[in-house]
Parts: sequence; structure tokens; C-alpha cells
Amino acid sequence: MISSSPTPSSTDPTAVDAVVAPPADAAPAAADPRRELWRRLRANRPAFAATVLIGVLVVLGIAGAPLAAKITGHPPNQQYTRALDAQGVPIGPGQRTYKADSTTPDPHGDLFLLGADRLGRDQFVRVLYGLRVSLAVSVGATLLALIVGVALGIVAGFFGGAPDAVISRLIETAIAFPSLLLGIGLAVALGAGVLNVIIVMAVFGWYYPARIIRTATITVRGLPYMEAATAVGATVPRLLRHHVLPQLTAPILIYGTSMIASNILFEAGLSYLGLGIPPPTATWGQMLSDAVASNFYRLDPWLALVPGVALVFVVLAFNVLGDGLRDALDPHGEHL
Amino acid sequence: MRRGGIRGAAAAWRRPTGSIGLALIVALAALVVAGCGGKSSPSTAKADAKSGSAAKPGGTITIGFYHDGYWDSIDPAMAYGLSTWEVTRQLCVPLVNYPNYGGAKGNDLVPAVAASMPEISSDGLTYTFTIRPNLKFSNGAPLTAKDVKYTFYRLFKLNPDAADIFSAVKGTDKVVAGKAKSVSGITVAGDQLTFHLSQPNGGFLQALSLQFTCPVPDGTPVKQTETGKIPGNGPYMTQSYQPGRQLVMVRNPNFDTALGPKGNADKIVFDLALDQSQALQKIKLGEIDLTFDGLPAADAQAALTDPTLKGRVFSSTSPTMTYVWLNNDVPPFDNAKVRQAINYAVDRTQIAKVVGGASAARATDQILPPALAGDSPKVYPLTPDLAKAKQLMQESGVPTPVKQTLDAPSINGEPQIAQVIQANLQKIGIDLKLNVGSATVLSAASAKRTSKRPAGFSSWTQDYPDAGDWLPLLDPRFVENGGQKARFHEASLTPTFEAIEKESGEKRQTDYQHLATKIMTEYAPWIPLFDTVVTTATSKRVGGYEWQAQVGLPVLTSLYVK
Repeated sequence: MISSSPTPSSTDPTAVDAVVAPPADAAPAAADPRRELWRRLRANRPAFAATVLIGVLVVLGIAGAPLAAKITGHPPNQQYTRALDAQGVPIGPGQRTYKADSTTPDPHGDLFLLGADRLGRDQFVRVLYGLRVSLAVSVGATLLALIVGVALGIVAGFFGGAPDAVISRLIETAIAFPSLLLGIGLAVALGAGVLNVIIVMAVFGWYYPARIIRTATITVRGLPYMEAATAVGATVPRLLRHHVLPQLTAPILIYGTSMIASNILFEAGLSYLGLGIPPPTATWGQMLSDAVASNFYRLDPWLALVPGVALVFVVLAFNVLGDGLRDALDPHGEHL
Repeated sequence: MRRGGIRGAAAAWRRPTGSIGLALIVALAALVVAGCGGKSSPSTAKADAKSGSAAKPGGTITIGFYHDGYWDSIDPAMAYGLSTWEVTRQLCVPLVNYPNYGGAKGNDLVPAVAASMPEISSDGLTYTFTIRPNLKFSNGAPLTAKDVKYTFYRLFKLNPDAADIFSAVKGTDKVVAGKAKSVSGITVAGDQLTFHLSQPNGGFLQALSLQFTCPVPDGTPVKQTETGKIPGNGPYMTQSYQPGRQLVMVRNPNFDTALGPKGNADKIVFDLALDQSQALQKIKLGEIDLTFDGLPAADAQAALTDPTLKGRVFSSTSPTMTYVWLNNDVPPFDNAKVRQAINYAVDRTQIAKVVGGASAARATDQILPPALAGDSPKVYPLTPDLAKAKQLMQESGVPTPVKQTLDAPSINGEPQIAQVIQANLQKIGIDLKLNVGSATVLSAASAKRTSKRPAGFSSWTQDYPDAGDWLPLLDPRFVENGGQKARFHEASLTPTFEAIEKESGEKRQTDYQHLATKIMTEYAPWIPLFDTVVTTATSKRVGGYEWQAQVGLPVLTSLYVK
């Protein structure tokens, strides 16, 4: 908002602040935007539930996995040979390991809450460790993609001209390529590993946020207050930091949330194909792949259900949160 | 199969009677495995007796092949896989053959195109065959000694790897090099065909049973032909072939039953687009009558306990062994004590379970398959002996923990097996990093002579039942060409290899067995893991399932429509 105060000297760097700061005797300031966001989110029950679920998942991923390993006494990669019968079929949820004959259940054997996988490892503990990997990799890849995408989008949208032309062509070219196939190719070339997976996912994730941010920046760039700020001598860094970026928070948050969801699936897909995090690290994609190999899930559906259901819940939670954030950050949304 | 390198010459070898006993052990082992599965009878006669049906001619039988299974060529000169050998066994019959019978009846090498077993000179350098009279190709043309001679010329021109197997035949190298228009070491005099060898070759007769040597008419173009229309002398001939979809065979009207059984079905359809996950369901629905490849492990187990499939599920040990090679040039695997320690630490029983249990794998510590291992002593336990393994690690002088990498192709459950090995070796101070990747890429990387890939998976399927088909995989003379991935170059064993090659009969087999035991005991260049068990099922409408143990294939000519 442009103040009605006299126009200050254009050489005075503090003049901009004086222009935009409301006078001391003006009406009380609007509610804290963060508190307003939280209020709106809470009012949206599915989004709130998703937020709580994600919070719980983060806690589970950070602390729950090692706690589960400690309580059950089953490290995530420990193979229990007696958790498989003589034909290699793992025990199911709530079952105990076999005696030495691999046929007779042992009433005093180790209890497996969600059963064992094909190598006799505890599925309950591994699904929690897999959650860690999924969250860490997807959040890491999303952050990296956003840093690159937002930076390029801002440059293209703010400066226009040649930078915009170059970056826009880069975006269009990147979008034209089949990301999944190329992602698989790049994963093969780089090899397995957490960092490599993050790089692959970021390389094929930066261009959509770049396009969105570019459009948003162009919109903000055209607002009257930007023109005013420029007129009173605001530098480019100041404009970007104080006037452009705050306006981009909403799209960054919204898109970032749904990007985490799609990256969780991307990572699971790469792991399923054997191109993600190398074994024996627990990942949901690898757990699914093991279940499907040789059709073992037909003998023991829990092999696929445990990681599959976990994946569904987490992806759903992030998607619902993304939708909720979109509604909550909508400036035209009703005051609830 | 999956061989590399130049094979040395070997002495003349007549199939020893002792090996009949070995083959019977295989057949008995198959019976035991099926019995352990609990619910199926491998004896077709028994099943048929129960159902009251008997073999009768006529009808069409459909065999399913997995669309992502191995399939290279149906040109007899090029086919080098069990699947395509199953096809060519119906289309053609070589000079000598393990005939299309299951059980003991199929265990012996018998004359086929040859009227009788050859006359072999006392120095083992000439093999003289008399070609069976009145034989014809499927197009009605007579099959003569000249055709057989030409077959070898075409084979050597088209397939240098196959030529390698017959490198002892004089003139082979000139044909391969393009410097000769025929094989000088094969001569024809009327109906007599003589092979002249440059040095004795104990496995030569067995090698002549390979499908590579199926006769083709003289003058058949020297180019790979995938139409299936090269005239053959087998019980069937190709009616139509759509690669990747279907191959249809009908009876060969000119088949001579002196070459083997003529088959019961009038038509055999090969469904080449079968999805593994649907195989069992299709058998139950009668859409296919048999899968060539084994059922996926879980489906095999389900089939063995399915009452609706009683009497129609069969488990047989295939002469295929899966192992991990340890690069003897790369530390710590360059230390024999470390390799021995590893063999004591690996849980082969657990690995066999992970692969799918008794319906998919039979744990082993032997280089040779059961039929050829004979009375070879156990070298390493099938379950870990950690105390012994740790003791050997200490004796090796290698400080622990020591890190290394294991390549694991992302197929056939090998990543899971690799994780078992990784967990096993961690207990003796070897931290393995798993490099999971494309089988093609990993195989190519480890095949180079200069490769420093430390360890990886491989498997070998017997080409013919001779220990001399297995031991060259560890022959120090073949290290240079990159085919010997373990880089086992114990030069002191070279004279032993050279001597045994020239031997024949039971002594040859026994000496190879001793050599295999010595190599594993003292040097342990590999970690033998398991022999493959093939479990398959037939549909309700067919009977007569038999397993040809020597070639590791179901017998299609014995199948009949009830």
C-alpha cells in the first residue's frame, strides 16, 4: 500500500521503508498471516488430519524406527532364518518364528508384528526405516528442485528479455523429454545411492516449479507497488527479498507439498526397479519389488500390503495437505 | 551354456557304464525332490495309471514360454539356450543323441543319424560314422554324409563359439578365418563320415550330441535363418513362426522312427508371449498344457499343494548351477584362505529357501551337478560353520573388517541372494557393498580380461553330460580370454587339466571329480550356491510328462492329449 505521506528523497535508502510503513496512528495491523494460515488449515478437517498424520510420520521416521527396532529387538537388516519355513515362505503378521525344523511354530520364538519379509527381516521395523528413506529422499529432492526451479523462475520472470527467453526454452525442452525413462537412464548411469537418487529426482523435478514461479513472478512484477518501489530506488535484491519472494510463498508451499508426494512415488519406483537406494537399506519400493518377485505376494500378501498401504497413506497425506494449503492460502478464501 | 573362451582338445571318450549309475541318481534325485514337494508324482506312468488314460496319437499341445525368458535363435547352428534347444530337438536330430525319453531310457548317448556308434582309432584321432540309410529331410530330400559334412562347415562359419567346441577337428580354424570352403578334417566316402582330430578329445562324442550339429541340406545358405523353414530330420517341422508370439509345428511326414520317438501330438504350438504371473492360471484353465520354464517359485509351491493339480506337478533337477565367482586378482579374494572362509560362512540352505525352497533350488557346495559329481565328498557345509570361517580369516592374515563389492544383477532373485551373502560375510569381518544393476552391463564389465570387478553372480547350464563341459570354466589356460571370471590362474594345475582332457571313459569323469574337489578344497575360487530345480505343471487334458535328465528338458514327444 502506498502511503499518503509526502514523497521522500529518492536518494535516501530508508525512504522506501518510510513510504510503505503505516503511520503510527493508523488502524491496527491485520492478523499474523501464519496464524491465519493455521486457523484456515485447522478449519479444513481433511487437511488438518493430513497435517497431523504427516507430523506423526515425521516423528515415526526420526524416532519411531530406532525405537521399534529396540523394542522388538529386531534390527532392520537382521535376517532371521527361522522366520522362513522350509520352502522359504515368511511368517505372517502376529506369528512367531519356527523351530529348527522350519516347519513347527515355536511358541517361544521371536514375534513379528507385521510378519517377516523374504529374507526373514522384520517388516514392521523395515517399513518404519523405509519411511525415513522416503521422507529424507523426497524432501531432499524437493528442496533441491525448488531451489533450482524457484531461482530460475524468478530470474526469468523478473528480468524478462534474454534471460527469460533462454530459461523458458530450457524449461520447455526439459518438459518435452520423457522424464521417467530418462530418469531411469540417469539412475543407471549415476548408480545407486541416496545422493544420486536425490539428484535424479531433482533433475527431473525443477522445471515445473520453475514455470509456475516464473508466471507468478511476472504477475508480481507488474503490480503497482513494485513499480513504486522501483521508482523510489529499491535495489533488485531488496525487491526480490522483500516484495517478490513473500508473494511466492504460497505457490512454493503448495507445489512443494505435492512434489514431495510425487517424489515419494518416484523414489519407490526407482527402488522397485533396483535403481534406487542399494540394499539392504529398507525402502518401500524395494520391499514391494521383493514381494512381487517370483509372485511371492500370492503366498503371503502381507509382503506387498505392508509397504503398499504405507505408501498410499503417506502420498495421500501430502496430497491432501497440498490441497488444504492451496485453499488456506487463497487470498479470496472465506474467513472461517 | 554361457561359456567363454577357447576349449582345449580332449581325449576320445566313450560314454562309461558308470555314468548310467550317475544318471540314475539324477532321475532318483528328481523323484526325491518331487516327493519332498509332497503332492505330486513325477512318474507319468503312475499318474496315467490312476487316471486310466494311455498315450494315444493326435491332437494339439500348447507349450508356454515366458516372453521375458531367454530366446536367441531357432536356426540350429545358432540356438544356444535351453528354450531354443527344446524347439530344435523337435525339428532335428544329430549324429548321436540323448533320445527323447525320460528316466533311464534317455540317459545313454545313442546313435541317431549315425547307424551305430563310431569306430574310434586307437590314438583317439579319428571317428568314423556310417550314416543311417534312407534318411530324409522334411522336404523329402535324402540325408547323406555330405549333408552332415556341410552342416559343420555352415556351423563353423556362422558360430565361432560353437566352432570353439569342435576346435580339435582339423581345419576348423581355417573355416572360421574364412580361408576354406569346407572342413578339411571331415571326410566323406559314400555313407561313411570321418572326423580327423588334431589331438584326442575325450568329450568329442558328447559334443556331437549338441543341437548345433543337426544336419541341414548341403548348400543351405550360410546365414542365420529365423523362419524355422530349414529342412530338418526331426519328428516335427515348422508350420508357422511369429517371433515373440507363436511357433507352430506339425508332424514331419518324412521322419524316420529309427531316430527316436515320433511324438504323440499332431501339432505342437509354442506360445512365446506367456507372462510368468499368469502361467499357473493358464494351465489350470487349460489355455496352455505345460510351461517350458519352471513356474515362479511361489506358484510352484502353491501348485505342489493344490489338490486340483494332484498328479500333474513335476519337479526335476536341471543341470544348471548358480554360483558367485570371486576375482582371484582382487583383494581380499586373492587370498585362498579368505575364499575358503567365505565358503564356510555362506548359508547355502538359507539361500535355497530364499530362491523358493525345494521346488526351485537344491543347495550345493559342488562345482559339478549331481549326475556328474558322483561320490565326490562334501567340501563345505550347506549351513555356516562360523568358527571355522573365522579361524581361516585369522590364518589368512587379512585385517578385518575389510570392504569389497559384490555385483548382483537385478534378476532371478539375485539381489536377495546377495543380501544373504552380505549378512553372512559381515559375521566374519567382510563388509560387502552390493552393486545391483543390469545383468547385461555387469556381465560385460566382468568379461573383460582387465576387469577388476571383485565378485559377481554367474550360472552354468550343462551343454552335454561330461565333467569336461564344466571344469574349463576354471581352467587356468582360459584366463586370458576373459571368459573365466574368477581369474583362477593356478598354473600348477595346468598339467592336470591337459592330462585329463586326453582321457576317456570312467577315468576321465573320476579324475575330473577329483580335480573339482581339489580346486574347491584348496583354492575355492567360487561359492557354489544351488542347482536349479524346475517345477512345472500340466493341464488336465494332457498326460505323459517326462524329463530328459541329460539335457535338462521336458520331453515333448511323450506328451499326449487324453
